[in-house]
Amino acid sequence: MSAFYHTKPSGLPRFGDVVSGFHNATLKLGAKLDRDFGDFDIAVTHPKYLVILTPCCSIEKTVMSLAPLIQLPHPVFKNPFFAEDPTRINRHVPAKKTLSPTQWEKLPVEDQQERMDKADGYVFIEFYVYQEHDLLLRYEIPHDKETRKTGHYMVNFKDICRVESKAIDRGNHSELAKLKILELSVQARKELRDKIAYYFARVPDEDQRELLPI
Amino acid sequence: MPELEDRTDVLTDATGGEPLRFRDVVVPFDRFEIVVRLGPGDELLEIVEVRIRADFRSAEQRLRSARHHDVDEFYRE
Repeated sequence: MSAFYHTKPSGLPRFGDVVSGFHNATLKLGAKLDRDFGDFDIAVTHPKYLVILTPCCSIEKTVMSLAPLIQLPHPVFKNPFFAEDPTRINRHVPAKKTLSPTQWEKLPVEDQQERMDKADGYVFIEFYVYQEHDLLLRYEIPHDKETRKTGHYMVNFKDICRVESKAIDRGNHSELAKLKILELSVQARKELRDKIAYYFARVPDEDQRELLPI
Repeated sequence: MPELEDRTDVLTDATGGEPLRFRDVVVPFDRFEIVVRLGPGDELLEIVEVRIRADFRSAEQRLRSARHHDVDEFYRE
């Protein structure tokens, strides 16, 4: 087993921890938006696993951000580079490896060259993949007209929700510790921190132009 | 740092035997990177190198130099 997870996890809640037992709520508004507040629904789900996405030092009293740990979209496995190790999605990838060899060969030469001119970079910028582990249930994905099993999961940075509980207390974490399943290694937590920082720190082109010094 | 680079090549036999196809795969392991050489059937031939994943840049420097490749359109379900 690789060192993706901490072999001696602390009892403390940490950024990137896999936990269970938390409800997940999504506020859904109607198609017509209204300043006087239109229709809405609150969808509550009970994901088997969730990930703490509050930075370690900010897990204080009563509030924490979580996102559900979800199954990987199966097209990811069509690229042998990602199928061999889906956690490669968490790190910078050479341009040629971002697509399957078949997809790469179908690209026009100019497109290939343009991509090759770019430095190694992230793919699927809102995803961070969790390596399979005996404590995470394996599931089936389609594979060459059949199915194969995987235990890799991922978190989508667009799925972050907020929970409140008196049990969320870094000073008294005994309740929270009961729900903790896995803790990332220091290296894996650094990679999660780097990728989520990149996701939120991107500057849109139109802003970039205005921010340039005259 | 060439972090996730595969290298495919052929080992020629100096005695004139059949050349052996192999590929080197970089396996991240905590603070280390292990370069393993795999044969045609992905069998382990040897461990080529163990190196430290040393990145001496600060978090801000890493963030400034980060890029991404837009490939989502190729992976629609």
